[in-house]
Amino acid sequence: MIELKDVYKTLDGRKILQGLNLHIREGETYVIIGRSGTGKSVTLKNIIGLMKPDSGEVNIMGQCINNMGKEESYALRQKMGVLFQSGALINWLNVEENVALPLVEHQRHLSKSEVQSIVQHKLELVELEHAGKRMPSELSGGMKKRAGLARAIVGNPKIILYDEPTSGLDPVMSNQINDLIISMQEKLGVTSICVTHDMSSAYRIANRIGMIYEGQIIEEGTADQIKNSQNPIVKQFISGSTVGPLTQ
Amino acid sequence: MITSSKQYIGNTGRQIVEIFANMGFICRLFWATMKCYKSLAFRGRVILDQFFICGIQSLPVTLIVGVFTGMILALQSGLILKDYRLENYIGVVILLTMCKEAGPFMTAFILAGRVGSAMAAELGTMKVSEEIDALEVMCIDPVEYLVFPRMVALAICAPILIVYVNLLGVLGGAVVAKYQIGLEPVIYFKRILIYMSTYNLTIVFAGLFKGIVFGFIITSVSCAYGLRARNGAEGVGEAARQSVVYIFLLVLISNYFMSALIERIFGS
Repeated sequence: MIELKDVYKTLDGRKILQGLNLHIREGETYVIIGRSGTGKSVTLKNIIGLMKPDSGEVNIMGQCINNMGKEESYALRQKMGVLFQSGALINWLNVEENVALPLVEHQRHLSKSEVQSIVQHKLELVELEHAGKRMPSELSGGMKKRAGLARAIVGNPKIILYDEPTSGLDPVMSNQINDLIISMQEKLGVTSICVTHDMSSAYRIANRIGMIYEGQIIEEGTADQIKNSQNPIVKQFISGSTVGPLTQ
Repeated sequence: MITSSKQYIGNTGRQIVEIFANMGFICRLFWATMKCYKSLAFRGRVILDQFFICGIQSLPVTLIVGVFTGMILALQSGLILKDYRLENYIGVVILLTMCKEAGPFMTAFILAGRVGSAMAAELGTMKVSEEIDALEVMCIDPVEYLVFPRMVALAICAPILIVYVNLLGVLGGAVVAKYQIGLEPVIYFKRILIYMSTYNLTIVFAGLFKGIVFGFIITSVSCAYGLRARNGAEGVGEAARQSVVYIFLLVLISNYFMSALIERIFGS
């Protein structure tokens, strides 16, 4: 479904991705973990197409996106939805208008009532049907993320990417978001990629977890395999210990 | 000493490269925005919103500036003209100065400070809070969605604001001419009307063309800096500050060349 082959990326002279290889299967939820600044978000941006790798290949649904033109790239992106860390709602549009935005822009043949009905359905999926008229500034952090998720799924994507979906949320709200991610996989059958350093979230939602370190995936496996990993870097990261190879 | 000289040369070189890179980005953005003309009808509502924000909300400050610019011009030119017993021509002097230079120039500066900085800050905030990325992901071209409506709105409302500034400048001038120079408003306006009916006024209205160009400059520069903002709130502030500086410089430089061109084509 998604494949990154030997991807390199340098930003401002700093090597971020250094030969990253990743293979994500259709319908699974893959969680990328790692310390801040190790290239998790850059990996995500390379998959979405917001960044191009310096070298290597990014294949999405059998298509190499490295040299794609704008039209092809847009066509592929319409099969993806992204939940940004902050929700990234357009601040002058209310929740309904934000969720409706991709439909209004790309499916101009839809009537107002059809758009309204789709938006309402998506808001119900994220349990936000009561907040459609609120502005982004009136929403809590969790509500913003749920609204962002409703917008991400409004075009019925085949792939959903989550960038730190639980950061800045209290444990209860974090679990609500985790449940939503699981339900998206169950109800919509989507392939999900989640970038996080919240291990409880990773264990809960992941079919597989990959740890990124120095621009490469150094360990990959199910939640149990990661919990029982003998790799000292992985062990230190998941335990949160201040002593170990990550802090040397 | 040698090290600090090398550092100075290095920094200067970097700044020059950065200026050219920014200019290149501004030109590319302008061209990309021009290519969005097909979406004019679809973006009508947003253009109207922007017209309200850029134009209508700028009216109070623009009008105050217009009146006082006319008053200053009337005072300074009136005192000199009075010495030569030419005070009857104050109105003509103010009309020409306002329409040719002061009106477009002052309007551009107001729009740069009020609208340009706000545009840079707004787009900069959207950039650092990933809203621009979100648009890209939704396959919505940020240039078409954000820059194009702003550019169209400002290119329309800048000439309209210039007309208001010019009118109020002339009116403000009449007040000063009456109470400080002692020229009756009837003579003031009569001389203006005689001038307008006698001479080719293309050159006067060419000032409105400047307004359209200034509208393009203000939007291109402020949106370019906004779209390239980085590093959170600090980066947004920097984008707003730099955009105003560059707009001022570009307005000043382009104004000279436009004036020279207009005088060459239409001048006597």
